[in-house]
Amino acid sequence: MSSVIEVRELTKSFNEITAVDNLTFTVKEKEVYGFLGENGAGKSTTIRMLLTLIRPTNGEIKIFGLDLSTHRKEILERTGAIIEKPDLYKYLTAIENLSLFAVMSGLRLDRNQLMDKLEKVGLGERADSKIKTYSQGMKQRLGIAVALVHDPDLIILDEPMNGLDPQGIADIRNLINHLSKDLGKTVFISSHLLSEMEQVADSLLIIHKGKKIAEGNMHELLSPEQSRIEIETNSASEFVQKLNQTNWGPKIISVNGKKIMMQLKKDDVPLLIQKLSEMKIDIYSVHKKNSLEDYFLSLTGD
Amino acid sequence: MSLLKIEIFKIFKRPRTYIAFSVIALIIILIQIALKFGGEEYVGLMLSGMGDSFEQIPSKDILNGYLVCFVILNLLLIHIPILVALVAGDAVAGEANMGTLRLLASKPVSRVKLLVVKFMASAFYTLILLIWVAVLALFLSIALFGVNWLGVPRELQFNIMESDDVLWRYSLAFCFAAIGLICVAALAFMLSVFSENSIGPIVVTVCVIIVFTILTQMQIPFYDETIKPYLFTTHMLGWKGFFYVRGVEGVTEKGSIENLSSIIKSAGILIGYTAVFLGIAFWYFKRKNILS
Repeated sequence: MSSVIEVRELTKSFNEITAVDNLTFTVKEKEVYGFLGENGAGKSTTIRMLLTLIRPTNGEIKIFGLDLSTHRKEILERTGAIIEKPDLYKYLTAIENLSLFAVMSGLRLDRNQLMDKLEKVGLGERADSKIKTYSQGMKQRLGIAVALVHDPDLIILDEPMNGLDPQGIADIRNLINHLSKDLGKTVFISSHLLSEMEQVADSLLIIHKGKKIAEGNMHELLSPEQSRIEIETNSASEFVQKLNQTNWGPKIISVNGKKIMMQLKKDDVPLLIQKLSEMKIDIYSVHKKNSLEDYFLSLTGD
Repeated sequence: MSLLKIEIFKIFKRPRTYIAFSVIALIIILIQIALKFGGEEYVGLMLSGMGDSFEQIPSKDILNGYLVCFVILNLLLIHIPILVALVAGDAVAGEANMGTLRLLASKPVSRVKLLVVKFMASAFYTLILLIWVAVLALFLSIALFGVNWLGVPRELQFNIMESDDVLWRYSLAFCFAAIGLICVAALAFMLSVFSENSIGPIVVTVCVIIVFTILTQMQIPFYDETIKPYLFTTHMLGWKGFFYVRGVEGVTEKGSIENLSSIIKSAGILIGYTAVFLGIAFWYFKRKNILS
């Protein structure tokens, strides 16, 4: 598969603060690429740079093989986006909003075509209602219709599940799967909802304080063959010091208080416990941590 | 063209846009009612301070649609900028405040083009507002008061124009007013680009107009040469120049304008200010990080 987004050494600084620090990643065609990070990690800044809302301080962005700084129009003609909450013109109706953004995307659609697009997101019956009468979920669906109005090849979704009820979240999840699996679109999605991300994303990028801390295929990262084990001990520093003198040392991923996260093969777990016992290290608990949330927290240290 | 239509559509879909039209209609109609029922008294007061020779002129001859329009413009043209700022100050900052600016700026339309159509839409609104003033102040006044010669009071003299020598002066005066109001729109628009909330640019524009107008009207010799020539509000009064005529031994020279070069200079300065305001707006917006 060819690359749709190629980001190289991307950096954005606001005065003294570096919001995005030397970020490099690649998004392949037709994949759902999850973008994870805590609040303030630099996700929205990165997405804004992908959409030319913010100028990078340094680095290079290529989308569809074209340099974003010189081919902005061609790239954005093939890109649809929701940036945080879908703010639209509250004093206009849904069909007026959709028509307006279709024109902004270079399209002139008649009422039937617009109605067809609104019906696809379940808003056909409320097409002539003003947005100020819409619920958050309806606004989100209209935001998606706006993002997809020009049938883009790349869809960038920044926290698309924010503020939605469980049914709304499920609808978005199904839509993302439909866009990717049935229509062959490339989806770049950031979200706080780790369990949802785990269900939709093919690949994953995790950033922390503006820096990339993990990237890869979701199944590889969360592979049962490569279990993450959280070990609670009375002295993490002693644990790390002693293990670093053995070949178990490189398997330590992170240390958080008295808890140590290690990445091991399933069969290595009893061997490690036996070794710790020989080294007279007190162990209070051992947990297998294999969800995306566990993985994310092990990396960010929270 | 379709982008411009969108911007105009958005402006005229907002209820607040019609506040300005309603306020102008209300003020003009109130002035017309007052002059309809107490106009002769008003004209008497106006003439009383101008010497004996004017007291012989019948008030009903002076009080006609042309004079009523002049009185209205004299009162209104300094306040209309505030109404212009309501829309021009909201043009970009209002989008930022609503959160729609990031959506607009992520569409395949260049920022320069986006700003051009936004300013053109603000200018269009300003012109429609001015046409509304013209319809109510000139044509409704003519319908209510009829036409006759126009006497424009000027310190201790009257500039008198025959009735067939007036309409073209109003046409040019409205064109001049359009230049002045578009200059104000450009100021509010520039401030709007810097702001994330439309209240700020509207309030700052109104404050600038109030302060500059006070300075313009101050009769202090020190300011006459140091500050006043550089204030755009001073030059916005240039429309009156079309009603200042040349005369020989008290007889008005028909079709004359006393100081055309001064009017052209004022128009040029206003256009210059507009270009500077827009230049700053474009320079900044092209580089702006759109965060909200």
